[in-house]
Amino acid sequence: MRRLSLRRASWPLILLALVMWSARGTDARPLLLVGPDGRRQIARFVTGLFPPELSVDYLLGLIRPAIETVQMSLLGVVFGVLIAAPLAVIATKPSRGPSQPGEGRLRRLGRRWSYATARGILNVMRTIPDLVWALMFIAAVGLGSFAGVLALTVHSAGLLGKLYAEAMESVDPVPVDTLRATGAGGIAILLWAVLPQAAPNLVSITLYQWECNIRAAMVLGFVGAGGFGQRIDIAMRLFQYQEMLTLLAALLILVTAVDRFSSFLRGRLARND
Amino acid sequence: MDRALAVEGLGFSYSTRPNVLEDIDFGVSAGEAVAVIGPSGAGKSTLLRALAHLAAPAAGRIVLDGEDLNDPSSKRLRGSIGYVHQQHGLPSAISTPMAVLGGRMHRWTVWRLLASALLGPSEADIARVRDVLRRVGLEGRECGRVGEMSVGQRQRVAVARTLLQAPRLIVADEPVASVDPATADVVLSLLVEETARGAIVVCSVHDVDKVRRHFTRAIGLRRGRLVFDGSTDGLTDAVTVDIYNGESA
Repeated sequence: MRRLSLRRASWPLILLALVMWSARGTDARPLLLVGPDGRRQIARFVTGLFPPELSVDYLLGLIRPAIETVQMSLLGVVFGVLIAAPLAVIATKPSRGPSQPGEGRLRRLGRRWSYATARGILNVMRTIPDLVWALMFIAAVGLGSFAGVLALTVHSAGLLGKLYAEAMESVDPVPVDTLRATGAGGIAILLWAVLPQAAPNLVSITLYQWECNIRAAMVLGFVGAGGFGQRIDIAMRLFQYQEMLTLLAALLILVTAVDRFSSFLRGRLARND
Repeated sequence: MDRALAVEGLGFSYSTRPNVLEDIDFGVSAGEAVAVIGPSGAGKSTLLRALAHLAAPAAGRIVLDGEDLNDPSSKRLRGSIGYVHQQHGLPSAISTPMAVLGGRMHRWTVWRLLASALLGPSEADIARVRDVLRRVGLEGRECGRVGEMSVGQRQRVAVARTLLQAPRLIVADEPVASVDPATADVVLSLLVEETARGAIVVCSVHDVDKVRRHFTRAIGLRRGRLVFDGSTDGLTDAVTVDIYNGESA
């Protein structure tokens, strides 16, 4: 009992050591932020934000990049779904055990190989940050929102594929078994045993990814991949802080609107389930 | 006697539980219904999963109409096996006709599967569903979703799927465990009636009275071993207690 308590007591110390180690490695000095110089710089930045730029011409000029950001996020998630869906089906483990009765060795090997390959592709797409994908696609297709769409597509596909596969793996195995026992093939099992159970989760995951894509689309603008982020980046570089505040407020409205719409759709789905 | 279904030296182990089934031998003739009884953990569900071609045995073999179920070429046998589970196994989101038509999907092409998913079942399929739902006492329920039905009605839909499939072997794992007594009798009668067309029925049932009422033959399992195989007339209280190893039947 005493040994167990000691072990428990050591966890906060280990955590503290890790925090200090990380702070040292990143040169984290919180006093710099609240010191006289830090306070002066922050005050200069914040006072520079006011009053926000609210001229009609400027506000009308924001409509186009706002729409472009929504379009980027939407295309990113739609194309992402098209890539993720087939990969997720391959990357889904069978509901009961790795081997099926009457399955030949070659077929079993093929199934395992395709599973590992699909998981590998999804891992690569997900692990490389969308910002890096954007830089690669800018090099390939040039500056602009299309590079952003491609970056969002690949990153969304990686995330969605993994989450779709997990959602399909966690369905109740009994409907899968009862249909499989009748001799029905993989497509029938997918359409009438797996998808009917996993569909609410899959739709919810997709809507959530769309929300994430709105925020990601903004960040991608900083590297020249179009949309709202590009306008924010330009405003910052030119020290036009009043315009930046307007842009940030507009972004907040945009993200909130998409979040609300997505929550509304997910709520409707939950009620219909 | 001709044994259409032969279980020979069947053994099964899970990684966490060895010897779930040991050296099981029995045969079933065409047109015969056999009840499987035994206490919880005796290996009934494992035996039925192996018969339903859902689990590969560690030892022995299962032969249906002369073909070994574990042979890689035996996949064509799979349309010949119907499986009814105690939890009906029907997703609540699918329509009742599609749930019933699951019994015929092994015959469908990919295009027919996709067309049914996008456009719904054809008129001919609906007529088949209507007919088989009438047999299970669910006439007029060919519209709507499975989730709108009671548990007993869903189990009848699961039986309807098996009736539409008309398989050579019907494997039923506690099909009446979660339904009311009246529905239980209907479900068991429907399954046993399938023997009239030559089907083999192997069905686990916990209630020994129901076994005596609906079946003429039973096999008893205890701790993975076959301890009884005979007529249900011989299933006296003393024999039942022996099978259940002192547990109440």
